[in-house]
Amino acid sequence: MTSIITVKNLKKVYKTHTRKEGLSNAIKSLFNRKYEYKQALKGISFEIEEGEIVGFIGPNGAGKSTTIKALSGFLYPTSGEVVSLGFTPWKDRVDYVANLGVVLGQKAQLWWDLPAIDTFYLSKDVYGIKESTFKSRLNFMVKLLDLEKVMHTPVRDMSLGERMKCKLVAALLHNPKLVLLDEPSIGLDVIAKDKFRDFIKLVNKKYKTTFIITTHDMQEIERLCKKIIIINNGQIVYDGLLKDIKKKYLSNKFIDVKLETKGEKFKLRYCKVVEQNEYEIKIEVNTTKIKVKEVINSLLSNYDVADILISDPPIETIIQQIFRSKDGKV
Amino acid sequence: MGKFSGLSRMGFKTGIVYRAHFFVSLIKIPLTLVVFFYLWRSIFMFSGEEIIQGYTFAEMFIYYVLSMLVGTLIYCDVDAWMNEGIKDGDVVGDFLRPVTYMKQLFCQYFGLRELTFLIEVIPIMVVSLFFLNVPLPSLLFGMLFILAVFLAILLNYFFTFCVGLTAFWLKEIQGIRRVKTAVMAFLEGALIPLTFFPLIFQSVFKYLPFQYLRFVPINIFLEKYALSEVVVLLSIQTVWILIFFFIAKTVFKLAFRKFAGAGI
Repeated sequence: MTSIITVKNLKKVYKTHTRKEGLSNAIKSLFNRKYEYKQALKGISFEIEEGEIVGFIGPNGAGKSTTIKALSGFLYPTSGEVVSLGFTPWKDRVDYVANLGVVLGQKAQLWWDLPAIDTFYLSKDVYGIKESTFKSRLNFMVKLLDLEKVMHTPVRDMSLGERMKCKLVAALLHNPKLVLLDEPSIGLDVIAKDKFRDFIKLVNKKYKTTFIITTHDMQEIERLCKKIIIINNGQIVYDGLLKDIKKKYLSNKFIDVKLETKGEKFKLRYCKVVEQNEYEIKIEVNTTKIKVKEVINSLLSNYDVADILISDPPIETIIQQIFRSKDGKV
Repeated sequence: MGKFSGLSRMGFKTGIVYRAHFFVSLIKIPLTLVVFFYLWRSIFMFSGEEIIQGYTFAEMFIYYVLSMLVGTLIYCDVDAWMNEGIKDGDVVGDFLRPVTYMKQLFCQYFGLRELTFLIEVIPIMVVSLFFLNVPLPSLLFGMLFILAVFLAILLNYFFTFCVGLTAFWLKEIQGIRRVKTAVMAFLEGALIPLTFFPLIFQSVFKYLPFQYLRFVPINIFLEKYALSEVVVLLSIQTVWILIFFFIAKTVFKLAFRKFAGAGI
């Protein structure tokens, strides 16, 4: 495996001006501006290998978008190094973006007044895609994402979700080696989200396209990414496999039991009863202290069990734990 | 070539998206010409002169017909596009395309010029040839006129692009654009022929870029210059194109840094 992106000690300080509320302060700020410096990235380093789908996770203002911008080539960092696809993104912008696809959830990248199909044809010309290749790729994507009809209506008349899907197509038509998706699932309904994810997986498999995805949707991360990078306060707090972080942080499991007949109150060491009523028990088990097997055995011997469901706590819980801890270190 | 035509086609297409806008804008030129016609007819009648500042009434009207023609051909509002894109951040869409920003906007501008040529300029040309008795220049001056207009299209683009670049620092440049429009209407020779200004002004105008946008091409058509003069004028025009091209290129580098540094 070869690294497709190497980021070394990337720092970014933003200078912004601030002002207090009110008309007089607005007028004052015409002449006298107060500036504030905000450290968006405090020296992050990571590597991404070809063909990976990497989830970039972090709370608002953590530095996700700043990183994506630096990787997209339109952000000059304060210091540090990025080599992506062999280029320094902000220095070799024109050559670099020829192999890059970017979807920015919040920005318009399609021609607002024209049908999306016009933007697709523009991509064909701008990236020099062969007619036959273009047609087959477009058909493939349009079918998968259900865009046959929609792509002929002007972009301004599209729904948020339709626009997002068209943006994804526009970002992928030239078959880029690297694709950056900044909150791509905004505005998508459940079915569309599903298709969107399947589509990304398929493209990743078929073309070995590398994806970096920022999102607040943990389900998306679990469905798509093997590797995640967690960023908080401009620093990377975790960089590794999703399953490792689960293993490391999931010391608990949930057991839901349904009963055929009414049972006594459940009691066992290292187990916490979260909820119990006549026909249902919900237990949280500390798996570092007691084996799940023991708990199940105890349940089976004491109750008339109809059904058992064992589950991990959702990934959100872990992420929340990390963000809430004082130093934010894993 | 593919990149170029693809982008200019987008400009062409956006020009005809809104039907009402498209059709109404077709009336603009005839309407303006009617106003100028009656304005100058009464000026000539009241003054009683045959020739005012070197123009007969017929020539004066033709001046405005040509002024509309050239003005429409070189019309450029890329500074407004830039202003909008920079303010709302959608300019990043342009930065994600593997073509320089300056080229992208130029292609779209050029596509719109093609549209303008087809639907606005050709009708004026037909009408002025058959109904207004506009005298045609000699073949040589005709060619020089076409060259001068082509250069004016380039000059106006690079100049307007430079104005638009200020948006990277100022974010909102509508004020600047309004002042620019007002000043240029004078300096280009769109309001009145530049011969109406005192001689000393005229000799200054010669070294400014603005008269090369409208006044000079028009007067080449009217054969008001000797051939040797035309050569000098076209050379000055070319020098201005190069100057604005290099300013645009250099300042864009700074602007991009500024944009990328300040965040969006």
